[in-house]
Amino acid sequence: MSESVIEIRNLTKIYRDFWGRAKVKAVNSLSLEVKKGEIFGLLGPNGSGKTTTLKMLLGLLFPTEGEIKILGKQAHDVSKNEKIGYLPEESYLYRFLNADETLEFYGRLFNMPASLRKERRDKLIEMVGLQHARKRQLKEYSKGMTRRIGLAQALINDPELVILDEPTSGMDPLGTREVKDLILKLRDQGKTVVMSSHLLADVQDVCDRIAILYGGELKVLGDVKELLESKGETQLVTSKLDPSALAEVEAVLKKHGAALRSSSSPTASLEELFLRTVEESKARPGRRYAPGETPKA
Amino acid sequence: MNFLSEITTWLVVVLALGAVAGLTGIVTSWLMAGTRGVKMFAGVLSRGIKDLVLLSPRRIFAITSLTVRESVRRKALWIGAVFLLLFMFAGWFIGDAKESTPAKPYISFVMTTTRWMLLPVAVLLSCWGLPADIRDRSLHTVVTKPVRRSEVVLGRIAGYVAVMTTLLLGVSLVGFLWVQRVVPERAQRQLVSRVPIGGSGRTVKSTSTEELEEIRRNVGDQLDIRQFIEGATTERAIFVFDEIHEDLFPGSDDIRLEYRFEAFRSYKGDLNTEIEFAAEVVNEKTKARAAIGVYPVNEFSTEFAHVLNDGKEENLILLSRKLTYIPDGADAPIEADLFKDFIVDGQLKVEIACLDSQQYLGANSSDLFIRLPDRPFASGFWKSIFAMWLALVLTVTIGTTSSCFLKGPVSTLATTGLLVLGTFLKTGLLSRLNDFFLQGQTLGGGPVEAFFRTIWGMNESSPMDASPTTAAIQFIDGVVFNLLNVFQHLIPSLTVFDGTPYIANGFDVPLSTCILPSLFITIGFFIPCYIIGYFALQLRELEAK
Repeated sequence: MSESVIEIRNLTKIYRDFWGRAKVKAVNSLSLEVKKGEIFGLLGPNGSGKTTTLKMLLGLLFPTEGEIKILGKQAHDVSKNEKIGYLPEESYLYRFLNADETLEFYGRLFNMPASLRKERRDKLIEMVGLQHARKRQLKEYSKGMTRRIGLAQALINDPELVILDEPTSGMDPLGTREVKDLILKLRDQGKTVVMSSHLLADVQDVCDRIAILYGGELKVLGDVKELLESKGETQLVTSKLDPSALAEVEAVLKKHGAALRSSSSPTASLEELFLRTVEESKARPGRRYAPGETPKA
Repeated sequence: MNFLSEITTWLVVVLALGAVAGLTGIVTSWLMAGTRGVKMFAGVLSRGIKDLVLLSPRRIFAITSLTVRESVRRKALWIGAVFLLLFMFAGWFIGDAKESTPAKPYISFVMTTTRWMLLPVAVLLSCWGLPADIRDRSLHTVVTKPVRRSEVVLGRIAGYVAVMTTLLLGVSLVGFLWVQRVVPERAQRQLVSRVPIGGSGRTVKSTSTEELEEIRRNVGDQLDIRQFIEGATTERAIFVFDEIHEDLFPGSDDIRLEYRFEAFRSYKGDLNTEIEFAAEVVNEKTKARAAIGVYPVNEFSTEFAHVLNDGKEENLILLSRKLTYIPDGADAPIEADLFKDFIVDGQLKVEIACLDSQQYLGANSSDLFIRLPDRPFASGFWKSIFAMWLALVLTVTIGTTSSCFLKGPVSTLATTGLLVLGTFLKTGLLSRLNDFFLQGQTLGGGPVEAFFRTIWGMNESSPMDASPTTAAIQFIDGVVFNLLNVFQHLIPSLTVFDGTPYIANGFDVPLSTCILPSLFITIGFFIPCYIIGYFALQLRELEAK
C-alpha cells in the first residue's frame, strides 16, 4: 500500500459570527486520505467545502475540530510548505510584478540559489507559454495568462505535492488541455496532485480518485473508473456497420440473452474538435472550412 | 537620561503586557476548548518563540524587495517632487526672518517640511500595505510558501524603512544644499553646530556668616524662568561645570564661555549704557579667585553669541588658560594656570556678579555654557536627519504592527492618533501626572472632577467641598491617573526625535538628549511591536469570512 501524503480525520470547520455563534458549518466530519503519486479530485457544487478543506490543509484556515497531517506534518507547520505547490482559486499574485519578477520572488521565498532560480524561471515560463509576456506586469494579463503564471509559481519549488484550486478556471480549451496534460505529467514524475474543480469533464480526464462533497460532508469517495463504470453494460465500438450487419449483431446478442440498447455513430467531443481546429489552423494559416466540414483527426 | 532606570521601566512594561496577553490567551482558549485549548495555546507560544528567532535573511530580503518595488510602482517616491515644488515656493511659507537670526527660518522650514511630509507617507505606506495584501489575498501565496509570519512582518517593516530612507536622503540632501544657498552671505557663520557644555547654576547671596543663601527672585514676569540677582551686592549667580579637562580644548589658549543673561532695570538710568556684570573663576578648595572680566548685558537681547550684531561677536567670555590673581594675604598678583589652579577634580566654578547698583541680572542654568570648538553645520544637520529617520522607523514599525490586526483606515487612524499623542499631548499628560504623583493633586482635578466642575460651573481653582461625593470623585480620578500612568508608557515621546530646535539655533544635536533617547525609544517599541505583529498575523485566519 502506498504511503499517505494527506490524512484528514474528522475535519470540521464552523464559521462563527462576531459573537461566536455558529454561522455556517462549511466542512463536517470529513475524513479522507490521499496517496502518494495519485491525482485526487475534490468535487462539489459551490459552497460544498472544497476550497475550505484545501485552505485548512494549507493553514490559511484553522479547523474547528479534527486532525490534518500533510506530508507527515501538522497543517500549521511552515516547513511542510517546502514540498508543496499551491495554486489558489483566483491567481492572487502581485499585479505590479512581471512574470520574471513574480517567479524570482517566489523562488527567493524557497531560499533557492540564484542560478537555480533562473533555471526554474526560464523553464516554467516556457512551460506555461508566457515567453512573449514575461516582462509585462501581471495587471496587463488576461485571466488565462494569470492562471498560467499562477501555475508556474506553484511549481517553482519542484514540489512533491501540488494543490490546485480550480486549475482550469478562466482558461481557454487549449490552455485547459495543456494544464490537464501538465497534471498528468506531474503524476508521471511521481508527484501527488490534489485538485478541486466543478468542471466535471476536467476531473474525469485526469483524476485517479475523487471525493464528492455536498454541504460540507463527504458523499462519495473512490476510484474514478470504478465509480463511473456501468456495471450491467458492455460497450463495443466497431467500424461503420450497414443496417443488415447491425440486425445480425442484434440477433447474436439476443441469442446470448443481451439486448442492443442503442447504436449510433460515435461523436468526438467538442473539446477534441476545437483542439483539432486550432492545431490545423496553426499548421495551415490560410485554410478555411466549408459548412459541415471539419479538420481531419 | 538614566539608562538603567529607563530599561527597567521598559522591561516592566513589556513583561506586564506579555503577562496580560498570556493570561487573556489562556483564559480565552480554556473557555473555547477546555484543556485542549490551553494545550493548543501552549503550542502556539512555543512555535511563536521558534518563529520569532529562526529567521531566513533571504526570505526577509525577498519581502523587503517586494515592498520597495510595490511602493515605487505605486509612485510613493513622487512625494519627493512635491517637496521640490515646496522649495520653489518656499518664500510663501517662510515668515520674515529676524535681522539677527536670518538662517533660523530656513533651517526650520526644511526640517519641519521634511518631517511633516514624510511622516504621513510612512503612516499611509505602512498601514495600508498588509491589509491590501490580505484583502487581495496575495499574502496567501506568500504564507503557503515556507515563510514564517515573523519574516513577513520584518520584511514589510524593512521594506517601508528602505523606501522612507531613500525619500529622506533625497529630500534632506536637497534641503541641505538649499539652506546653504539661500542663507545670506552675512549669515553664513550662523550655519554652525555649536557644542555646549552646560553646568548647574544657582543664585545666592553671602550672609554675615559667609553661608550662602539661595535667592528666588523674579521681576514680575510669570513666564520668566530666571532668578534675578541685585547689582552691587553680595548676590551672585554661580555656575559649576563638571568633567572639564584640557583635552576638550586641543590647541586652544582660551576657553569660550557663552552667556545669555537678562537685564532688568529698576530705574531707567542711562539707556545707552548697558548693565554690566563681572565674571570670576573660583577654586572652591583654595578659595582663590581670578577675575575674568567685565561684560555688558543688553536688557532687550537674550540671544546667544552667534547672532549677527553689526558683524561683531558678542556674549562671549574668553577665559584664558593663563590667569593672574592675588592670593589671600599677598600683595602682588601671581600667575596661575586655569587647569592646574582653578579646575578641581574636573570642576570649574564661575561666579557672576551684577555691577550696577539697584539693577538686576537674571540667570538660569542654561544661561552660561562652555562652548567647545564649533563643528560644521553638516554635523548637526545630519544628526537631526538621523533622529528624523528613527522617527520614521518608529512610525513604520507601529503602522505595520497595527496593520497586522486592523484594516487600513483603522490602522491609519490608530497610528496617527498615537503619533499625535506622542508629539503634542504626551508632555502635557506627563506634567499632569507629575503634579498628581508629586503633589497629590492637579489643577482642576482629574477627568471626573473636571466633568463635575463643568456641570456645576466651578472654575478649576475653586476648592471642592469636603464631602463623600468629593472623596468618591477623587478616588475615581486617582484610579484613572494610575491607569494613565501605565498607559503613558505605550505612547512614544516623539518630541525627543526632533533635532530642529538645536540646529535652527546653531547648536549641534546632542547624543545624550536627542540621538540616544530616540534610538532607545525606537528599539524599545520595535521589539514588542515585532512580537505583537507576528502573533496578530499568526493567530489570524487569513481566509476568515
